[in-house]
Amino acid sequence: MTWPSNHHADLQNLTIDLLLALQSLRASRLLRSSGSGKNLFSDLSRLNSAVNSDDFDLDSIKPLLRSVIAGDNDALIWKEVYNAVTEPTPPPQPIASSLQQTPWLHNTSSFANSSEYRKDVDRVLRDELGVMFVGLPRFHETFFGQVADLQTASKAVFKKCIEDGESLFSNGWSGWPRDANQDDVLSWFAELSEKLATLAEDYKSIPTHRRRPLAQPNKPIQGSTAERKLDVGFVDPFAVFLFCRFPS
Amino acid sequence: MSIPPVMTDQLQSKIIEENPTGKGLDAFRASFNSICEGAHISCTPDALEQLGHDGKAETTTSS
Repeated sequence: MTWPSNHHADLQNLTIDLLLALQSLRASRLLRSSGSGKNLFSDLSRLNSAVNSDDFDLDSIKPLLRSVIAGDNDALIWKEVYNAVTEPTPPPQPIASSLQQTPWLHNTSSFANSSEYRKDVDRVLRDELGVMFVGLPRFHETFFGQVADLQTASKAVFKKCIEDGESLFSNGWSGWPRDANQDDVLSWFAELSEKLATLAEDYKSIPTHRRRPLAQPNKPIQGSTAERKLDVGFVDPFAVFLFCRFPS
Repeated sequence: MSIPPVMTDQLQSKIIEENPTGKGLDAFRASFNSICEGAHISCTPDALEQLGHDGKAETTTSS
């Protein structure tokens, strides 16, 4: 007797079937998300893509499948759904900034002469970037809330942007490069942020170090087939000065 | 304003009660059954354990 060698694929397909079926249930749109998503439906979509990506341990989802196959009641099934969507918590990553430490053994710069499978690159990129959050509730309030008079100042500055002779803004920010490649976008952004900072000068209640875009050179990695993209950040030049002078 | 956990639990239970899964998961159960039948394993929840592995070492069948 020959055995199918793709049992894993069967399980993967089965899991996706179930997740899709759950998404088509009205309750999944009404039940709340286990995290910061809109509802449980968003959690299920995220899980579905993860399962589909092959890079997923299906064992964590078996209790859910088991519960549905066993004909458990709805409350139990939804409880298992929550367990399943909450499962892939990113492992704690004891990573400070990549600026503060010696280069890692594995990061995107060390792909030279490797096969550079997308799957592998994505994994390393994820590790390198650390935990990322999307859709944090009250982010704006928490992050910018302490800036005095931000609301008033930003309104006034924006008004200037529209009215000014140069008109920085009309139906979008002006000067956005037609061919939006990284160099053009960066110089557009540097120029725009410089102009905005000048406009905001009058409204600043507390003098601050002005932040500027910082970019790492766009140099290809020797032996790598992929084009290296620019690393860009928005930083306080005073901090950069300290870092360059006193590298830790 | 945050909603106290007890209230959200009640709300969640109410949603689950008022929106039953009904026959919504039957298609999934049917496809599980047909995969098990195709692989000659009995359609119990334990079959999942057999499906999880790549079938190379699986020479026994529980049916």
